[in-house]
Amino acid sequence: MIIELKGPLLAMLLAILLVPLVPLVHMVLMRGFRHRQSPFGFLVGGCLVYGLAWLGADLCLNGFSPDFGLEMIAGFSTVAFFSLGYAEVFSMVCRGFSLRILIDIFLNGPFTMNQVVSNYGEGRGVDWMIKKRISGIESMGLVKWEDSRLAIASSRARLLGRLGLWFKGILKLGLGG
Amino acid sequence: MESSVFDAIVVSMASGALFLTLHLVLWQWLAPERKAVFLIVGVAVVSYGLMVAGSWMFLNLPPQMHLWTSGPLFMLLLMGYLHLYVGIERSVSVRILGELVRAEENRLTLENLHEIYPYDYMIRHRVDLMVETNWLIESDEKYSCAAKGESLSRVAIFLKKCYGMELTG
Repeated sequence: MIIELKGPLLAMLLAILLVPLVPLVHMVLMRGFRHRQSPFGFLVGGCLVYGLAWLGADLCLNGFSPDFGLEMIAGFSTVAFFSLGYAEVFSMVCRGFSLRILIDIFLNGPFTMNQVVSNYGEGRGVDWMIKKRISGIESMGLVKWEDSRLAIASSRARLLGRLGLWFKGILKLGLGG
Repeated sequence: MESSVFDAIVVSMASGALFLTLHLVLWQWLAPERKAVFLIVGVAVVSYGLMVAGSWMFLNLPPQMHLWTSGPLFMLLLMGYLHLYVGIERSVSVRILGELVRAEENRLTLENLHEIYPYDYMIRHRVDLMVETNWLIESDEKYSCAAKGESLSRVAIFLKKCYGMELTG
């Protein structure tokens, strides 16, 4: 069976070849607009540039062929796959709890368990991380402070909380977190 | 052409449905420590393979008619699901929201939250998992990086510098 390099296969391969655009554009935006503090916004920008570059390359090489629908599905699916994959990798680097523990131990270890807890985040401690997480979900309008008690702030938050509990229950994942 | 697009989408969706079914059934039986992302990917690969083989044998749909389209589409669906799975399972924020939903009047003080969701637990179960998967080494009750843990840390520190990020975690 001869595999011809055209149509959906070419669309998919182009998307794979252009993947380095995402981190490149993202890094340029992060460093160029450091004052903006919008890492995930810039990530979306990087993915959009990647998608547009793929579309341009595909139209140049494949044109409007009879397999246009298949090419678009193959190409955009591949673009979206790598975009989501990159987002997961960046999220781990940016906010990853386990990776932060690993880096702390690498830089200043070996640690006992108590030292891992107290030295988390270059000495800031786990309390700092919890407050950071709470600030994050507060800024999204999911929680609010009421007389020193943390409370659900919206029906959307209640739905997300219930969805998480339901999902973990169905798959028997325990309490998670 | 429309038939090929339809075939590709149906194969992907059917593979997704088979994957979710197998995943749900397996996860009822497996011990928590065995519920790894690699196993989910394995189940997904088996599901897609079975669906491609099945559609070839029973529907006379050869793989070359749809593989380069149904494959990427299925991989996209899988990646989306993995985001959801890992996000819900590991997320500290999702856990906090869940505890608030379960709490009386949906309210907790930080002390209450710490009793239900001890900060020590957050660290311990991650450290234990990293020891089990050889990212960390435990010796005399102290933890240090294994070789691959050191490599990953160096890569992460390098990436942080590339992104111009000061502090992460």
